[in-house]
Amino acid sequence: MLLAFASLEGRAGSVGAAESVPDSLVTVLDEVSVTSVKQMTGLRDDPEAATILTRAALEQLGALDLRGISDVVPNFYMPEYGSRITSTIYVRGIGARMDNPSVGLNVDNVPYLNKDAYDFDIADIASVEMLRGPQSTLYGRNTMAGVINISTLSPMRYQGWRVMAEGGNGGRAKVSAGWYHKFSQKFGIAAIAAFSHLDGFFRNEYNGKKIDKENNWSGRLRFNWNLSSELTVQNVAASSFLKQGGYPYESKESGKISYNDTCFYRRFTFTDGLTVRYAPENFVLTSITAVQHLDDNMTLDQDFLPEDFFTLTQKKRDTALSEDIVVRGNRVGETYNWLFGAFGFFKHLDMKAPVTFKDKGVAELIEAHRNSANPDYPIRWDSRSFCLNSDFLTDTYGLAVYHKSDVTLGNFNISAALRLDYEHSTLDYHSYCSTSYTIYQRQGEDFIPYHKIPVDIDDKGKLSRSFLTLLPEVAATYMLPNGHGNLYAKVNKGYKAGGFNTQMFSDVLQQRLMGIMGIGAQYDVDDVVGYRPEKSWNFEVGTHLDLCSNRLSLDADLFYIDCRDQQLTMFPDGTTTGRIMTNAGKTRSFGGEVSVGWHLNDRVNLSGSYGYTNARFMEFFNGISDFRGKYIPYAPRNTLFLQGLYTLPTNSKILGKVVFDLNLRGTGKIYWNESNEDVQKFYALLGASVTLGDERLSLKIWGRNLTSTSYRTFYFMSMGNEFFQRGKGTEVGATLRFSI
Amino acid sequence: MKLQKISRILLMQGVVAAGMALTSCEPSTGEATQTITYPSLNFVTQLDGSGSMLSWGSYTFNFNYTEQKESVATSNLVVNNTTYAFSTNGVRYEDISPSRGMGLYAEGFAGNTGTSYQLEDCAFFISSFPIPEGVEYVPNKKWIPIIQDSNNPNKSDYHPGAMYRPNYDIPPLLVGRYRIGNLFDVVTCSTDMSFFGVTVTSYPPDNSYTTDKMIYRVFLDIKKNTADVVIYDAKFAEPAPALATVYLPSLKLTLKDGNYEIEGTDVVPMVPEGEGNDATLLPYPNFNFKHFKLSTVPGSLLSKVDVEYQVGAMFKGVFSGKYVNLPSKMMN
Repeated sequence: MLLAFASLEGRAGSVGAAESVPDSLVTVLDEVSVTSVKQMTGLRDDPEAATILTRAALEQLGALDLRGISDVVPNFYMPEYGSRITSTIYVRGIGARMDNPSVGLNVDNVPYLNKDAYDFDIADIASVEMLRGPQSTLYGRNTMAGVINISTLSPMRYQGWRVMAEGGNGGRAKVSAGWYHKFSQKFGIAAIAAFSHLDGFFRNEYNGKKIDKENNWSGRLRFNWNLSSELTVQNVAASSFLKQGGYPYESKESGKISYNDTCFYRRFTFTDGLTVRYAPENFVLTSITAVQHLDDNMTLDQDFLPEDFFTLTQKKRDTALSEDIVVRGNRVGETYNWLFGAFGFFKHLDMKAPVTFKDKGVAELIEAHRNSANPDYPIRWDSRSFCLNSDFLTDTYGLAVYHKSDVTLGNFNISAALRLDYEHSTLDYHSYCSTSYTIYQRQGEDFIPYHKIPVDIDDKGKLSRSFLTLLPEVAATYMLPNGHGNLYAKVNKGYKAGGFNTQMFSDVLQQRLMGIMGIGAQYDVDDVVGYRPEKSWNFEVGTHLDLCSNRLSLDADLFYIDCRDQQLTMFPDGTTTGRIMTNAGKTRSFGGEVSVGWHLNDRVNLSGSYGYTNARFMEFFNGISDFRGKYIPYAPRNTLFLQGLYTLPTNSKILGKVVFDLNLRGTGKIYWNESNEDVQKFYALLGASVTLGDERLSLKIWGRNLTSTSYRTFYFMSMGNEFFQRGKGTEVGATLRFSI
Repeated sequence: MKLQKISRILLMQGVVAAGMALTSCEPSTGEATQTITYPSLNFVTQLDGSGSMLSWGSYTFNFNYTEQKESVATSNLVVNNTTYAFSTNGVRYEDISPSRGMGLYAEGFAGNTGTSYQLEDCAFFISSFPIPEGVEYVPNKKWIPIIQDSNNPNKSDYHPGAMYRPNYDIPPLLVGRYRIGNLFDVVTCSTDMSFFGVTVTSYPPDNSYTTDKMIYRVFLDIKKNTADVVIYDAKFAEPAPALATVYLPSLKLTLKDGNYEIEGTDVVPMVPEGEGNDATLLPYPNFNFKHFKLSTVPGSLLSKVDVEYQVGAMFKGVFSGKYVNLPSKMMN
């Protein structure tokens, strides 16, 4: 579905800096983007529920990252909680808080394989395309709920300097500068640098310091080289370094954000995508080669209390190489068109994840647990702090071939696609710990040492899993007469890769430790951390309509998703603290989405989108409770976006024009747990802005959540304690854009 | 005492695994053959009504996988100080299913020195452990309660007292029955048996906890007429902690009408803590068994048991379970 206001916005050209070429849908697709490579026609002509946001629309929204389009895209929800590593996305009731994402992300054609890198600021976005519903046939693994394609501005389309500076409350400061130069009609280069800073909005009452402070540096170097009319080359290298606090988690019991151990997240990323396009008369061959590297460190006070229970550090170094080769018939408008593709990737992850138990954690989580079972022979740990270490090496590679055929007969278009996808993953783990405790024996009122137990864990192992799957897709489109749009129906299969959930190893080690103390059942590591792929069948009907001489654009769709082998955590019987990852669940979700854009006249643009999702468990027994019929937690039932733009010309060459923007974003209900006992009711955030200026120089004064609506973005439990993250209150700021 | 006890458990575990296997391919015929000897316990009921008795023994099976035939022989069935022996002809065995085992229904003659008797109703069944309900069967991964992998003590996934699926095959288990002339019925099985089934624990005011994860393992010592019982994943109430291994030592073993009973009162269980040479068996007075009784189910060839017990003042448990999945033909 195309979010109509975006394209109308682009056509109207009401807001935005100068560009050499108008920022329209057509020119976006002229770029060698992964979408233009794989879609048979334009997104809006395809049987796709897609939203396209142009650069102008994104700037109007103030969106520099994916969170900025949450709710704007119907049924797309990316809450802000924790830190930028916790970039969970929910689409149509499907999401993933752990490991593999449910939504794919391509940035300048680089397929991001690690969802830890999904949340980032990016300057000078040319367009964002969000395709909802499974895209696994063409885009492969981890696109079960959809795929997002981000393209940045090309030096072949814009030349000159672009500067942005922004300030706001919370100590917000952002600056970016981009230089775009075309040396000839054949070669252009762009260099962009950006920095952002945030003092933070939340304070840790334990030490009085702001905890969600952030500094972020990023840079991008891009060149486009048209070697001939048939051969073009594009390379985009990007890098960023992030350092932030984060994790403003509030205890439900005390209502306070208060914890004593350090929390931070640091991340370095580097990506490079080389796209080579060869387009003789009869076909187009495109090669997309990508390399990506992530080096991060997440350190947490895992109890989030002002007490010494335990801390967690997770350091990752993740390097991936991917190659996607697509050959497509160049027969637009003819009866038959075709596409063949082959995809391969290799990914190497080196991770260390030590959990440190501190004095109170040793006493209450370990000693008390054991001693309640045998008070006559109590134990005491010999040191009041110790570390459970887990090191992992994970290698994953995948190979896939895919094909799509497209037949047009009169006003009807039928397409069928199939992908054969193979993936193999190995995990080398090393869990180790060296500590000891002493058993005491009761003698009258006294306890005397009875036996000393060394705890020397040194477990190594190697696990591997392979997955092979077929991913079909069939779609039919009826094109309405007179270019009024189309009606479509589609059935396809979604796929989220299986693998290993290394986060479970801390549970495995804790159970192992309890096992040495004689308590609890042990795990088979393969059973606990390994999980199979998650699969879904998606049934969808929809329409793209252009009415009133293309001044009114309306997209609507209805969907039903049957999801099997859902990857969930559960509690095995007979254990006390442990969880395992398992393919235990079946869910179904149905709903609908509608997006409207109305270019009322040269001054007024109205737009809106609404998404409804009813997502429930059909099967899910977590080892303790049966959640059949309950709503899937964290996935919002409704998303709403309304926006009105009024453009007032000043008839002054200096002042340009004034654009008034009033908008509303709504989300909810959101259930926070499987039992559906805790809930965030539907809430709406009012935003507004006034932009003064022209295409070269503009100043925008903006505000978000102007009514200081109170809401929560996240909920979790740790050691039986409940925590929330509050949403941000009122944000105000100003953005200056300068282009020459 | 502590380490010796553990060693004893480990040793007895080792006895089960000590079925000696010789596999070969006859160069002359190209046939795949295998010979396995199982140490076992003979449970003898005298047909003249003079009572039951236990004795050690062993059975040697010769498999010919090419012809799908096997034979069984023993030379050390001792009854009233007389040693009996028999050897059957090779007969076609019944492959019950890859996961359940194979049955042998053979005929032959048994005898002691100078006397020969007809071997009647001879049936043996070799089985893997029954797979718990709801558990997917994975070839070469059999569910066993494990204390230590005797083939590889340094295995990285060594989990003391835990139930897990090792990645190696264990020798199949044996249950057999036969009659020697008009002298006696013999039921034979391992001295180390593990019983799978459902445990239901009730406790005040009106609560109950049901689990199929608890496994009851029995070690019979016929010289002392005692039995040790090990309960794995012992959990007696939903909110209570699960104990990985509960060891009930030296319970009284009695024979009764062709079956046996294991009984004890006020038994303080022992729970192993630690690993390797540093391990200890620790008394758990909090989990004192006020009484414990395990009885074999009549007519089950000692393959099924009923258990009832009381832990502390309020937890009353009952269990019904089996050792192997015997084919119905075996019970006839």
